[in-house]
Amino acid sequence: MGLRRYVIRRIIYSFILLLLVISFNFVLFQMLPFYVSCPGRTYNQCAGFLYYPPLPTKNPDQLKEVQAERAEILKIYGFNNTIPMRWLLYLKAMLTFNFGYNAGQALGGTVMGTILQRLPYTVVLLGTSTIASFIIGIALGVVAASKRGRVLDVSSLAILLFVNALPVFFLGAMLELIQRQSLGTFYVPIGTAILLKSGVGYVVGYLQAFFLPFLTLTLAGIGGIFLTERAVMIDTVAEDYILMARAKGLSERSVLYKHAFRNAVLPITTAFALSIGFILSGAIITETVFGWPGLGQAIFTAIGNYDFPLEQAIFYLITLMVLICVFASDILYGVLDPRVVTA
Amino acid sequence: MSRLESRRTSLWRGVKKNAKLYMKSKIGVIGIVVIAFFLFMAVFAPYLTANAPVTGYDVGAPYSIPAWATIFPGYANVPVTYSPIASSLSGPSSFSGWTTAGQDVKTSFYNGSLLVNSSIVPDQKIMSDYLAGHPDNPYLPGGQVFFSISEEFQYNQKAPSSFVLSAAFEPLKMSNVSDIYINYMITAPNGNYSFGSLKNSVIGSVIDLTNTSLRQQATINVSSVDLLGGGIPSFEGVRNPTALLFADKGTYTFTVQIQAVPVANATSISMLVSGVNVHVVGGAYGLLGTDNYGRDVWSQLTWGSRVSLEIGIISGVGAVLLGTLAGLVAGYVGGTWDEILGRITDFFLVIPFLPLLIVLLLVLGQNPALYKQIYTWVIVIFVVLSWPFIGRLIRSQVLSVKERPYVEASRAVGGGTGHILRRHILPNVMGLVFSQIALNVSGFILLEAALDYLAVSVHPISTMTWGLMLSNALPDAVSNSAQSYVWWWFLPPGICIAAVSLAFVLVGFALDSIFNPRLRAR
Repeated sequence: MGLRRYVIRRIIYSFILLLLVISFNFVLFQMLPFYVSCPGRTYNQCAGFLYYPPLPTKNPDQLKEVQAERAEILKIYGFNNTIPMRWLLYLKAMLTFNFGYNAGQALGGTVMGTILQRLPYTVVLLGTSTIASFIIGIALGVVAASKRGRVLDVSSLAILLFVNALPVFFLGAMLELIQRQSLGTFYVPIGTAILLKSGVGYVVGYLQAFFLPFLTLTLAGIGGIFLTERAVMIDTVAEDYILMARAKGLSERSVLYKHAFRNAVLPITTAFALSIGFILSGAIITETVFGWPGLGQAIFTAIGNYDFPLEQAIFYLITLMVLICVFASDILYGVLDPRVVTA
Repeated sequence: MSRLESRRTSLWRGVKKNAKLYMKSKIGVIGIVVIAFFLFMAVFAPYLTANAPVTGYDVGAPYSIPAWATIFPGYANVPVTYSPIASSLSGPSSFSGWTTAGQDVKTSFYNGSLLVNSSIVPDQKIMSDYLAGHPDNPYLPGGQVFFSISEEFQYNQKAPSSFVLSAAFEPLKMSNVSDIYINYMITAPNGNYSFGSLKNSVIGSVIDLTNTSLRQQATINVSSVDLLGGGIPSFEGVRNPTALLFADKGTYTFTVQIQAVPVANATSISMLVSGVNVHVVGGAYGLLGTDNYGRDVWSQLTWGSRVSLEIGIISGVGAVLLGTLAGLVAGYVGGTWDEILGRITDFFLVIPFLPLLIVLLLVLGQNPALYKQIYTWVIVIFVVLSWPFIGRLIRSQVLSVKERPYVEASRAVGGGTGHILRRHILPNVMGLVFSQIALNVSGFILLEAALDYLAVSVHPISTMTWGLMLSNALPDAVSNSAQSYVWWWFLPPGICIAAVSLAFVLVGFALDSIFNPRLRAR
């Protein structure tokens, strides 16, 4: 099977998977309380998440007005259609990136506006910390594997296992406390920096607010990458061609970093692609702990507010992004390691 | 030897051999010990602590430090919350330190309580006594003191912030007595304070002490709040009566006095007394102090271990069992089954795990009937969302084992599918299965804590979990207020979560290195 057929097959398969996942999202958010609770309940309980003013019962004119307004709102969110029709409209909305309006009280405006507003924060935080943890994790893993059983290997294994066993929010709070106790300075929430809009104060404030969530996410991310890379490297060093390279009389440096490392870093590419794909889902816990206004926080707030249009859109974008990244990594893998395509 | 018996023996031999190998692994043994410790904590939680984790408010002052922390210089002057007197009076041993006083008093023990019989012959001065007031405290009404019991206790720390005195009374028989008063008195080293007179009419709604047919028990509490404006001369106008009462270190005496107004000759009282308690509330309490509501942190920690271990272990085992089954079928049978497992894994791989989990729990949380079994549902969701990944792992192991020569040989001599799966494939997959269980339990424990932190309802309101403790404590821990750095409150649950999840990871590592010879130290 040639690379081209492989690519086409992957594209078709990814598209079917995308359709399946977004249909699943549709069903999932149909299950949300708004839909479930509406028939048997009073108006206030039912539309509470879409429309807040209580229904006036005494004045018939006002009642009529509010009911008309309610019908209008239901129409905006597409509730006047049958479920199959709604599904089709939903598919169209997703595929054309026309996500409509937010529901709920905390996030106003269009869904796309909310996402675009939150996106830069998440990309900056998750992007840098993902790359940092992959670089540090891979480097540590390779070095630890080459010095197996020595102090560096054992100590980094112990420390990273311990850090990995800590709940992320606990790790974040501990770092915050350590910063306060040792430096005497307090964690600066991002809000203070945002208010400044521009200037040196903004940059300094942004970096101050950025530092702790970045450190937390990086520390939390290193462990898994380190363990995988270490295991792969140990396996690779045991291969015959490494023995061969050593027998040829190559320097240990050349054996490790030219021959072993190149093969040992391959399996990590898939994990890296997945991590990059999931950047859009943000880091719910870390963003909540530090009040970082990224997409993770938006997802969490939106769930609490039953803001299903936003949820559906973010879930869709995440799936899309992950599929693209996995696809890219598969192609890259196929190019780097031809055995995959021919198999 | 029958076939079954020989199989059993070989199985036992295998277990023994592997257990021996396991015990050689230091980290594995450490992991097992830590897990055993927390299992013990979870099973014996009711015996390790008497306080309710969620509803036990104000067992100590809010934000109390642990009692043992008073050995540190910074906390040296903090008074400890404890009960200098806590006696059930159920038998001679619990009454040994007490002294009785009164006219014609006889004490015995009945039904787990102290039975006091006392009788007096009232003189003509009854009425004038009554008008003159209480002999020790002119602000209390007068009357004849039938009997009193008292015990001394040592108080050697700074004055507490408050205190509670309590005892339970049950009148059995009374003749020719009208009003009854129960007085609590504390005699400080420097003087005499008495307070807490409770007339029968005051507690009439609870118990009618003169109505012998009712035989109800009443517990009477007097706390430091009652001293404020209680009309007791020594405390008149004092803003902090507790500080005045416990100003000195030394020997205090607590007295319970039964006082009554006789109405005719040959009066007598027969009363059961039990559960006498003097409780001082300071700034330090118990093993791990208290939270912002004065609840016992140690009790929260012990009860919380149950939730973590229960959810972690059950969902870890469940997910791995399901994944193993799927992996065996997909790997060994292959074809369509393999394809199905692959597609399901792909499907779950591209959906963000934590948001999906939260949405599903939210959907469940809205339905009261489902919410009752929320634990079960959390476990079910954990299992459903994670088995495909475990299945994928097991599948690749099965695939590699399947191609080994001995499997081919076994098939060549006529070994059936069941035989090959049981005798060749499964034993080679078990190592991975066990290590996956351990690793997944660790992951689920962390996940459950994260859900608690995000305040996603994964537990009934009446339970306390480690994640919830952290979630409650962290705002105080990281805030810039005077109450900040509540280390006794937020460190223990964090350390426990880390210890348990690390222990399971270590066990997984140890198992992995037993069953995966390539990883064994060369």
